[in-house]
Amino acid sequence: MFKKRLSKKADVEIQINWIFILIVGGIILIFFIGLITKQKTVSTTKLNINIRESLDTIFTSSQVASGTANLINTPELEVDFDCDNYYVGEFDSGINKPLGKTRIIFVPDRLEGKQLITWSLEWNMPYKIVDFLYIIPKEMRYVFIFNTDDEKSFAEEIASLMPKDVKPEVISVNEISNLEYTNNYKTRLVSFVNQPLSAQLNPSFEKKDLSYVSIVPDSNSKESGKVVFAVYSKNPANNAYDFSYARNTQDASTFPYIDYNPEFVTEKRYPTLLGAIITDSIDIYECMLKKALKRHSYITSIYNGRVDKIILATAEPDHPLKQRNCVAGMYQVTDPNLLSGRQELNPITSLSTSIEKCKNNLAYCDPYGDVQALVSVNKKAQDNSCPLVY
Amino acid sequence: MKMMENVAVMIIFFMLLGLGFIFYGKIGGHGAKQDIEKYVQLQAVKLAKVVAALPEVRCSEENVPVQDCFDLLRVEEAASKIKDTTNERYYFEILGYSRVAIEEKYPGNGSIIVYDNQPDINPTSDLEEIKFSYIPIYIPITLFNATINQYSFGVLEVGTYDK
Repeated sequence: MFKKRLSKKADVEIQINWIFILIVGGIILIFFIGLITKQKTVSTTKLNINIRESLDTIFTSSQVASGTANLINTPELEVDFDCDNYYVGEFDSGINKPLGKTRIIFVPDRLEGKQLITWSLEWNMPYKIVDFLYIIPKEMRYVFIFNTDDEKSFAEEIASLMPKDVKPEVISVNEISNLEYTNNYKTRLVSFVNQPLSAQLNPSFEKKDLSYVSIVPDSNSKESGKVVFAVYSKNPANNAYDFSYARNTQDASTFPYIDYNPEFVTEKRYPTLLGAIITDSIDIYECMLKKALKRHSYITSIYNGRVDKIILATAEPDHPLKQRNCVAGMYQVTDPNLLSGRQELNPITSLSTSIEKCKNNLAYCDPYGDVQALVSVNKKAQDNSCPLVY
Repeated sequence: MKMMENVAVMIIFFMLLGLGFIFYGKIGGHGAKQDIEKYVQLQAVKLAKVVAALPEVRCSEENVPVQDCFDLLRVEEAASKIKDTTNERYYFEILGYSRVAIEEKYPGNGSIIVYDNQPDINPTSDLEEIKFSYIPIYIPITLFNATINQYSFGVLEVGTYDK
């Protein structure tokens, strides 16, 4: 009887042991699964922070060194850009950081892949304003389209300026229908053709990220002109894919490009035009152009004050400048075609007014004449061994 | 009795695990402190480079920059423009909490504070004593005065205010 009771008690104890093992085992399992999940989140966040810091270093170094292009190997990237911020990782839960008001970065609205090309160029108007930074994903495809020989040479000139790793294709307008989708996550068509492009592309481009920009240089100079942004999307009217303006109207989709290639630069450069080519987002282009003009405005106000001081010094009776025959008139624009026939004692005042106009309305932005006026004054000052404007 | 034994083993196991985590945390914390110091030093060097490349203050001839040269007239103009409250915010994005000063050493003697932005510290706050260290970098430069066409020697002082 006693033996039977003992055996029953041992059975119960074994069962309780098993329940105990299950509960404790479960707790340990949940604990370690939780730890692994937490570690995974931490390492993803750490990687995103590392990417953000690397991008930040690239942005800062671009402010101090221009004209350099680098191919950077990165971990598998997913970075989204807008006017003010960039987002690493998931758009909602990822790491975001402000770009700031002073960084001018021309970049597609999304970077993907494992290789980035970073490139920077000086923007001179006519003096140095800022270094533009361009970030180009290696996975992005650029196709330049021309029709006439002039357009071909301009397209080839721009293609040759781009970093060698970008490798833009230069094709005739008649070859567009032969173009096929090549598995690039973004394709950008850049048209140098002086008429709106309306072409049925290969069906492989349907539902793919394809953007388009049309370049219309000014008649007197290729250094300034207009860029028209368009997208390739389904037309609801006929259900077929076609090009349409990036914004509602042609005017709203058109922005200027404002470049000046200084004489000392042997190779012509088109920093804002290249910006319009490299970014596929009309919003990013508009935003960066406004930031650049704002920077111009700050620097111009400093240069303006400096020239005022020089002009004031020329008026002093025994000032060394007078002995060097540097008089106030030295800084006046003498070419009647420049400055629209106006006479300004300080040539920067006129450029400053033009830039303020540009800041208020990009559609009426044309500071090229004032830039040329300033170049002529600087040349005159140099020829007469007087203090230079810039 | 056996069950009590098991419970004791589990308690010891979790105690050892806890100790392991505390040790790991301490090592991680020490590493983070070193990382912060490294980051602060890097920021100061970065800032010095940014200042030296600012078109607002550097010398140029026909737009070609002159290495380690600061245009005195531009520096004076920039100092007065940056002090303007409307421009302060814009330059804060470039220079942050820092001090940029230019001192003429020879033949003249003078100093211009181009930018000085110290972080606000609430003096009434006694919860935590916040101290900001100033880590300046001194770079020998030349100063160009365009009106008298003369160069002078000077020093560029760039420092960041870091917690």
